[in-house]
Amino acid sequence: MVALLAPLFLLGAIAVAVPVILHLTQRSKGEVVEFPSFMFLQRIPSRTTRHRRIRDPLLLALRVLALLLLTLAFARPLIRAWGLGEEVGEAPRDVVILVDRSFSMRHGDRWERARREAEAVLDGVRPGERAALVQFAKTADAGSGLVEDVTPLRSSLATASPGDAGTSYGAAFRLAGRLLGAAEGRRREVVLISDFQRTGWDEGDDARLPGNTEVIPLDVASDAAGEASNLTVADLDLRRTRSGEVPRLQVAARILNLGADSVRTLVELEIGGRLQADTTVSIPPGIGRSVAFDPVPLPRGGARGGVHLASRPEDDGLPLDDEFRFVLEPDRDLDVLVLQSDGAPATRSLFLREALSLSSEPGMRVTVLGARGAGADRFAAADVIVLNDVAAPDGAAGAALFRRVEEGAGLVVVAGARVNGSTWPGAWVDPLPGVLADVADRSRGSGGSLTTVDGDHPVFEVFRAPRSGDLAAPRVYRYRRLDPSPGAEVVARFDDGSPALVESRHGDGRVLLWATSLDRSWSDFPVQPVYLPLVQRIVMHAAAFGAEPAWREVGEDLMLDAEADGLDLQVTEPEDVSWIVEAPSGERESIHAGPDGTAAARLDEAGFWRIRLDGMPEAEARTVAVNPGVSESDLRAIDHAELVAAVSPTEDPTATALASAVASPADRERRQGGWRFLMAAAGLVLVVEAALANRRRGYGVPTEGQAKE
Amino acid sequence: MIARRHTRAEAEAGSRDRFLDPLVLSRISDLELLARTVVEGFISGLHRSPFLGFSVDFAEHRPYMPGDDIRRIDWRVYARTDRFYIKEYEAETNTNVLIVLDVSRSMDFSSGGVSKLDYGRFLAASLAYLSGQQRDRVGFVAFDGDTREYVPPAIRHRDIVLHTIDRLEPGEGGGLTRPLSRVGERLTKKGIVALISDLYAEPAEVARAVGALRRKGNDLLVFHLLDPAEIGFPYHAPSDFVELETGRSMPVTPDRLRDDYVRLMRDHLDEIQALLVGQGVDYAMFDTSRPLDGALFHYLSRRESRLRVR
Repeated sequence: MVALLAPLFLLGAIAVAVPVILHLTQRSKGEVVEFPSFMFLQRIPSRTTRHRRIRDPLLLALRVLALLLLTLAFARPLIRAWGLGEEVGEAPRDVVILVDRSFSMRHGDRWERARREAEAVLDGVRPGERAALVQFAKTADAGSGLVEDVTPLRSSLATASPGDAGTSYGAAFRLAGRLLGAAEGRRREVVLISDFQRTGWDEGDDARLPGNTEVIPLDVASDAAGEASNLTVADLDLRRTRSGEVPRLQVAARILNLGADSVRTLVELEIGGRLQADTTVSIPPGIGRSVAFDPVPLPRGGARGGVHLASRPEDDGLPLDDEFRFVLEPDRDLDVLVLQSDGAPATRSLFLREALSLSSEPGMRVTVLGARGAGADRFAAADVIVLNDVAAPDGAAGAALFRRVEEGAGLVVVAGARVNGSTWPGAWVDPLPGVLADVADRSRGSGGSLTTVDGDHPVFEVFRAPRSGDLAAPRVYRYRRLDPSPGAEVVARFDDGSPALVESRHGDGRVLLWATSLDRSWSDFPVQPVYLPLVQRIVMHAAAFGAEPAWREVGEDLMLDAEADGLDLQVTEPEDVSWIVEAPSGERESIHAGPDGTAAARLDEAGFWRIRLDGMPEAEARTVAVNPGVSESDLRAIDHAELVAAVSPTEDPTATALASAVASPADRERRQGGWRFLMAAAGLVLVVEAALANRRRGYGVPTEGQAKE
Repeated sequence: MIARRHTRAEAEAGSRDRFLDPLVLSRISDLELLARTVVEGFISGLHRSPFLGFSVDFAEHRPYMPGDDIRRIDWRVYARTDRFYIKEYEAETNTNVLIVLDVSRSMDFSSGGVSKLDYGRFLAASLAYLSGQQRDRVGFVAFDGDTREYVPPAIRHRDIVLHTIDRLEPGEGGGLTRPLSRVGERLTKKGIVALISDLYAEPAEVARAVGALRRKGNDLLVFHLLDPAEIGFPYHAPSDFVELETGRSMPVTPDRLRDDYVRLMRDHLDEIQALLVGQGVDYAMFDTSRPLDGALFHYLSRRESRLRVR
C-alpha cells in the first residue's frame, strides 16, 4: 500500500496538461459558439469532439512520464512494506463519548439505555488508549478530559442524570474537537449517544471535528423517528387589564400536539396556588391551538402561576413539559412628569396626557407642568420625565433632572419647534442621544412617514404582528434632523433616512429622543390609531417597565446585581456580597459577587427558583419561573448520516492519518527515501526525451541526406 | 353563433398570450411597468380568479381586548351572549415570499429570444408585483457563487425589489449549495421561497441545497429555466463551444453528439424532478420561449394550496 507524505505536490501533475495544451493550441480555429455549461458535453465520449492528431506520440508520452515521475518524487511516497503502515494501524485511540443529558432524554428509558451504551464503550477502551466523557445539553462539560484510567469516568456516569436544558449538538462536537485536536499521532473517535432530536442541530452550525476522526452514532430513542407522541404547553400570553379599579389578568396558552393522533385535554390555570379557570380543548395532530381563559383577578403583590394539562394521553412522551410556570410582578403604576414650555396652551400636551392616562398595563399617573415649575422633588418622584418640546432646565433643576436619570428614571425628549441646538443647555448636550440640527420641511408634498423601524426593539415589537397598527400611515410635515451620538441606537427612521427615534443610556436611565412633535403642529400622529400604543411603549421602555420577564428558559443565565438589589457598593465591599440561590429541587448554592458587584446564576432546572441576598429574610426572596425550552418537546429525530456528515472532517482522512501517525520527523525522513529513485528515473527519461527530440529535429546524428552534403 | 364565440375566445387568449410573450416584454424597459403589464394582463385573463385576494375563512372567536379594532367585534355574538368577541380569520396573515434568482453567468445565455436571465428577471418582477398586490411580504435574493443582492421580506419592499431586479447584471459562475445555505440562514420565518435558476449542478447537489430550505418548513417552488437550444441542441456546424461560466472552450461536432446530449439533458431533468418532488418541492421547468402565464399560474396554485392547509 502506498501513501504520500506531501500529497499536495500531486497538484504538480496538472503540469502534465501543458504538453497536451500546447498540442491542442496548434489546431485551426473554427466558429465560436457560446454555451451555458459543458456539464453534459463533457460526459459524452471523445467521438463527439473533433479529434486532434498527435504528431509525435512517443515524445509526448516521454514528457508526460517525466513530469509524473517528478511530481511523484516531490510528493514523497511511502510504502507500507518500509515499516510505516504497521505503525499507523496500531496507533493508539482517543475516544470522546458524548452523552446527551438534555430534557428529552427523560423520555421513557432513553437515559438508562444511554448509560448502558456509554459503559459498553468504556469497556472497550484498551490500555494505552484514552477516553473522555462529555455530558452535554445546551452546553457541554468534559469533566476530567482525556484520561487513560476510565474509573473516574464510570463514577461520573453512574451519578449523572438528565437535566431540563435543551440540546446543542454543536456545543458537544466543538468540545470534542478541542479535546481531540491536541492529540497528535493517535486515532480519533467520537461516540455520540443521544436521542438525535432534530431541534438540537442547527444547520448553520459550523462545528467540525479535526481530521482523521471517526464519528459513531448510537441512537437510544426507542420509538420510531417521528412517531414519538407529546403534548406540551408551548407558550403563554399574559395581559393585565382593568375592570374599574380591579386589576385583572388575561391568560392565553398555546398547546402543541406533537403526536400523530388528535388529542382532547383539560387545561387548567392556577395562580397563587389556587385553581382559577379550566377549559377543554381538542387539538389535531401536528399543530398548536390557543386557549384563552376568562380574565381573573390579579393579586396586587404579585404571585406565582402556571398553566398545566390536567389530562393527557397515556403515551405522552414528556409529562414534565405539560406545565408552564410564570411569575407575576407586583402591579405598579408609573409616575410620568410631562414638562412643556411655560405658558404653553393646554393643547400642547393634551394628546400625550390623554394617551398615557389610558394605559392600564401599567397604569400611568401623568402630571403636566411648565418647565420652571419642576424642581428636584418632582423629578425624584417621577419614573419617566417627558420634555415635550421644551429644552431641559438649566442650572440646579437641570442637574437634579439628570441626576434622577442617572439613578434609573427614563427621559423622553420630544424635539419640536422649540427644542434646537441653541435652546438646549450646553451643559446637558452629552446625555442626549443625538445632536439637534435643522428642521426638515416636508409640508409641500404629502409629508414624510415613518418607514424603517427596528421590529425587535421593545418599543416597536408590538407593531410587528399583522394588523397591529400601520406606523407608515401618519404623515409628518416637519421634523428635526438628528446626528446620532456615538453609542446611540437609531430605532426608527423617516422615509428619507433621517432618524426618528434614537436611544442611549445615561447612568442607569434610558434617554429617548423623538424627532418630531407629539401634538398636531408637525404631524398628524395624535389622530392616528398607532399614537396611543406608540407613546405608551416609548414611556414604558424609558421606565424599563417589563424588563423582568415572567418566565425564563432552562439554561439561561440570570444576572445578579448587588446595586439593583439595593446595596450601595460605596458602603459594602463587593467581595462581601453573596446570594443564596435555591433551585426548584431544594438544592441551595451560595454565589459570590465579582469585583463589579455582579454575578450570574445558571438556571439549569425547570420550576420556581428562589434568589436572595445572603442575610436577607427568606420571605423577601425573589422568585423566578423557569420552563424547559419548547424545542425539547419536539421529539422528532434527525437522520444520523446527515448529522455525522455535517461535523465530519473534510480533508483526506488517509493523508491526515499518515501525517499524524508517524513517530518523529527523523523517522519520517529516514523511511521515505523512495523519492530519490523517482528523481533519478525522471532524469533518465528526460535524457532519452532530449536525445529523441534532437534526433527528430535533425540536430543529433546527421541524416543520410545531410551527410552527403 | 358557436363559431363566432369560438373566434372571440381565441382572440382573447391570443391577446393575453401576446402580452405575456417574453420577446414582446423585453421591449418594455421599465421593469415595474413590465410587471404590471404581465400581472394585470394575466389577472384580466383569469376572470376573477379564485386565487386572488385575502382568504376570509372564519377560524375562531376570541375575547375582545383593549386596543382591538371595534369594527371586528362580532355583534351577533354580542347580542346573544352580552360579551364582546372578535372574529379571527384564517390566512389573513400575510405570507413571506422570498424570490431567489440565479444570476450566474450561465443564465446570460440566449439562442435568439430573451436570455434566461431576462426571463428570470421578468418572472421575478411579476412574482414580486403579484405578491405585493396580495399584500405578502416580498423579499429578493440574487446569487451566483455567493449572495449578490439581498432584500429582506417586508410589505413595503416591493419597489426596492423591483429596483434591485432592474439593475441586475450577470455575475460569475458558481454552485447552489453556498448561496442557498446563506439564504436559509437569513430566513427567520417560514414562507414561500421561489427559486429561479437553470440548475446547472448535479441533481444530488441541487436536492441537497434546495432540501435544506425545504426542511426549514418553507414552501419551495423551483422554476427551472432553460433556453430551447439547451434542450434540443439545434447546432450543426463543427464549432468551438465556449462555456459561459468558465470561459473555457471545447471543439464540438454537434451532429455527432446531439442524441447523447438530448438524452443526458432529459435524464438530468427527470432526476432533478424526481428528487425535488420527493422532498415535497414544487418543481416546474420552463423554456424561455414560453409565455409567463404558465409560471404565474403555477405560483398562484401553490400559494393557494399553502393558504388552504394553514
